Formats: sequence, C-alpha cells, structure tokens
Amino acid sequence: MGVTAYISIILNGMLTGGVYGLFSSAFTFQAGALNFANFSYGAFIMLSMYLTYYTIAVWHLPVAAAVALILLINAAFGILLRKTVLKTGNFGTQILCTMGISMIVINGVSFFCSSYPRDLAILEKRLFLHPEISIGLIQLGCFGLAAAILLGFHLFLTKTWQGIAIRAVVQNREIAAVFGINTSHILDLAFSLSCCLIGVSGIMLMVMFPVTPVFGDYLQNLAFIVCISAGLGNMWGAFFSGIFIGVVPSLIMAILGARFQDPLLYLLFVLILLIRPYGIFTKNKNVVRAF
Amino acid sequence: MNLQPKALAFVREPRKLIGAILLLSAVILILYIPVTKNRRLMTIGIMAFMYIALGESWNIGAMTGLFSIAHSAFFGLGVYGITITLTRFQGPVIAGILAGLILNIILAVIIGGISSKLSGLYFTMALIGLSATIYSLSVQWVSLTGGSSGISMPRAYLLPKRTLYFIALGIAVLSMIFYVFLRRSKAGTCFVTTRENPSLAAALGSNVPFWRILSTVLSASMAGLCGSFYAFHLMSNNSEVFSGAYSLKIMMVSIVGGINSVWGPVLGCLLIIMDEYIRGSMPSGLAPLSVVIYALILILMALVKPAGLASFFEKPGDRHAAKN
Repeated sequence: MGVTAYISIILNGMLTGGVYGLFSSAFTFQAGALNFANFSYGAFIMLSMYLTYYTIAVWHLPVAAAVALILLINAAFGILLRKTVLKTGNFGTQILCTMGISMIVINGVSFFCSSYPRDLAILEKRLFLHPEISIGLIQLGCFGLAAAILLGFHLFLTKTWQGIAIRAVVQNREIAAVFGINTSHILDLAFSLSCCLIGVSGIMLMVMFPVTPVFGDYLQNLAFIVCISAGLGNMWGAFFSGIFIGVVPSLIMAILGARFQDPLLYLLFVLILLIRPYGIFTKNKNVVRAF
Repeated sequence: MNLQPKALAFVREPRKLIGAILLLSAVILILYIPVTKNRRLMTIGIMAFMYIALGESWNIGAMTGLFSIAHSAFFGLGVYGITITLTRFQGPVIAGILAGLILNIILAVIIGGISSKLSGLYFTMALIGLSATIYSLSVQWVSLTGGSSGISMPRAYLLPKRTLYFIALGIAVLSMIFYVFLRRSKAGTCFVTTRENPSLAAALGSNVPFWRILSTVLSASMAGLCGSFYAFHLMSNNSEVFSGAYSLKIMMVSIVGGINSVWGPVLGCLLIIMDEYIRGSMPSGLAPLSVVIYALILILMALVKPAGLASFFEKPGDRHAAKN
C-alpha cells in the first residue's frame, strides 16, 4: 500500500472517531463527573441504533419525529435508571444492577428483533480530495455534527444557570445544596441529558455501521478505552482521544490484518490502565482513586 | 445457665431449625436423583453443583474485596486449557488440568497486581478489558481455539452421567469445606482485614498486595478447576464460556445467595436450578427470556436485600450486612 492509502485510512478513521468521541464523552460525563457507574451504557446505544432502524426504515416516520422519539425515550430511560438503580451511592450495587439491565436490554432485543445484523443501507457518497484519497460525506457530516453537539453541551455547561448548577453539584454536593440548588433534581437533569447524548450518537452510528445486539458491548469497551486514555471526567479530552482511537483499529487492520484488531486494542487499553491510569493527555494524577 | 449440649442449640432457634430441615431434605433429594437415573434431573444437578463451587470461588475473591465482574475469564481458561491440551497436543488429563491452572494463576497474578494499583471503576474497567482481550483472542486465534465454532473433546473422554454427577457433588462439597477452612485460618482473617480496612491492615504490618494476589489466585484456580470439569460435561466447547452471561450467573449465585457466607452459593444455586429447568422445558428460541428473568431477580435482590437469601436463616445481629 502506498502513502495515499494510509492517508485515506487515517482521515476516515479520524472522522469515525469523532462519533466515538461523542458517545465516550457522555460516558466520561456520567462516570467521571456525576459518579454513576453506568455499565448499561453500550446496551442503550445499541437500543438507540435499533430504534433508528425501526423508525426510519421500517415504520417510515419523518426523520425529525424519529429523532425526537429517540431522544425522548433515552431521557425517560435515564430518569428511570436514576430513580431506581442509581439512587444508591453504593458502587457495587450500581455496577451490578446496570450490568443486569444491559443483559435485559441485549437479550430483549435479540428476542424481539433476532440477532440478524440490520443496516440502513445508505449508498455513501464520497468526497475525493485526490484521485486516491477519499472521505465519506456522511462521516464528514457526522463528525461536524458531533463536534457541534459537544460545543453546544460545553456552552450549556458554562453559560446557562442549569449548566453552572450542574458543575457546582459535581464539585461539591453539600455546598451546592447550601446555596439553594436542588441537587437531586440537577443530577436527574444532568443524567438524562447525557442519555440524550447517547441517543444522538446511536443515530449517527446507525448511519455508519450495521447493528447486532452485541454491538453495544464493543462500543462500550471502546468508550472505556477512550475515557481512560483521556482521563476520566475530561469531556474535550474524550473527544480528541476518540479521534485517536478511531484511527488505531483501522491502522492495525491495515498493517497486521483484521484478526489482530480486537485483541491488540484491548491489550492497549490494559496497558494504558497500568502505565498511565490517569490518562495520556492529562497531568492530573489524583483522579485515579477519586471514584 | 446453658446446660443443653451445643448440638441441640438450633432447636431453640426456629430460623436455624428451618434451615436444618431444608438441608436434610436437600441431602435426601441429592442422594435420590442418581437412583432415578433421570438424565435431565442429573444434568440440572451437575449444573447446580458446579455453580455452588463457582460461587464459593467468587466468595473467596470477595473476601479481599475483589469485585470480580469477569469471573468467566478464569472459568473459560480452565475449559480451554483442558480442551486444547487433549485435542491439539494429545496430552493426559492431568496435563490439561495443570495447563488450565497455570493459565489461571498467570491471569490471577496480573489481576491481583492491577487490583493493588487501581480501585473502583478503574479496576472494573481493567477487568473488562482483560476479559475482552481473552474473549477476542479465543474467537480470532482460529488455528488453536477453533474460532467461534469452538472445539470438541475427543469421544474417548465421554463419561457416564452418573459419574459426572458424583464428581460435581464432590467438587461442590470440597469447595464448601475449603471455603470454611480458609475463612477460619489466619489467611482468611488477613483477607477480611484487607477488605474492611486496607490502610489499617497495612499499618499493622499485613502485606496487603500479597493477600490480594493470593486470594485472587485461589479464587481463579477454583474457577479454573470447575472449568476443567465443565469441559467433560459439555464435550463441545466454544468461546461462549468467556461471555458475560456466565459471569452474571456466577455473580448471581453468590450475591443473591449472600456474599461472605458458605451457604450463600448453596441457596443461590436455586436460581440456576430454576433457570436450567425453565430452559429445558421452553423452546430454544425463548432462551434470551430466561436471561431477562434472572437479571431482573439479580437487580431486585441487589436493591432490596443486599445481604442475600442466606440472611433469612440467621439472627439479625449475626453478621454484618454483605458489603458489595
């Protein structure tokens, strides 16, 4: 393969990685900032992907209605999770219950929809930068949208009253309560917002990849890798390291072959955890035992 | 003044009396099943005994606070160790069991080392990463593991159902005895102090990383031995043994039954019996629903009664509530 092929692989990996960055930043927000260990996270991305498939390709709803429905369902699930399973501060109970919920969602989907892969079958237009270097227009659009959504979320967190309240609660719950913030209400809001981010990234992923019931597990593992390499709780770091993680698997596949992709990726993850558990792109070492 | 002999003490406590009666009837049932020669009941019994042993092994890990959410990695390494040795290298059975054990000890030392470096969410994610590495290797390394279709044991090692039943019973009883022995030994005390207050234990001169690694190694070796047995029971193994469904079942047996109690897995395996029974009587297309049922039970128990079923048979003050 020539240099142009590698440039093409790297560019397309970066564009896919933007969406990885979006859903990983939702996870890093839940785990790092809100202190919820949500292991049913991949299952809900998978559920959003299936909902996208059914609303658009099977029930033929208008796209705006489909997006609204998916966001609504995700926010409702978020509040439900927060009210039942994530009410306790006990870390083990949270992991256990959300793993159980993920099992329920995965097996429910494979019971009702079968594990046959579903695809929206969109014929992709490609943009040629050079006769041998091309990027997918859909991927480019998703990358731009993901960056715009993250920027919007960042503006929400820094400029609006609710966003500032969320940050105050994240920093210190007791003091925030003293200043008249209804902490549990704010946590509900923050959690359901991050679930909406999951829904949006599910829609984008459905446009790019075929979905099976276990695809969510793969995405969840990817999100772990992204969050760990960025440092847990660091949302912009998660976006950039998502771009990095988007490039690595396609490079491994191009250089060594597809069968080394998953084992090497997970091994890389364990190595990062062992050598720099506070993240590659951060200098703060205190984050490891903070949870 | 207590003049009655200690052996009769349970007569005065209705909870323990009920427990004793239930245990006696269970023993009679266990001895009666092989007499009936009912293959289906024996299969359910084998699975229940194996999960008792796996639950005890999870409990040993939990003694030092190891929240092993990827226990099926140890179990699956045991299965693959023996199957690969017997089919690819034509080695003896002992060599297969040893291969599984050695693989498990290596993995356990790695995990124990990680657990003394990381904690909480980071440790859980590291476990998931390690088990995903092993799972994807078992799927991708086709020349050794047979890929996702798996490999079958040689037909020569097909054992009669009744032999398997008694081996499984032996494994379950031995694992329970080992758990009680370990809990009462000095090592067990060191394990529990490591979980309850690692900083204080280290200050009092206990070698905290060593005890963590030791308990992980013991737990992993037991799970690996169960895996070696399971290979003889199943005969054709595929990479599903590394999947999250097995981990969830093992955790369910220990947590629904009651962590830190020798009787916990014994009570928890009632769910395995129910699961096997439902799956045996339903058409195979409904199998995902069975997972839904036991995941629901797990969530309910974790939220409503974290101390587990075993706490029904104890006085309220007997034991601290199980700490997850």
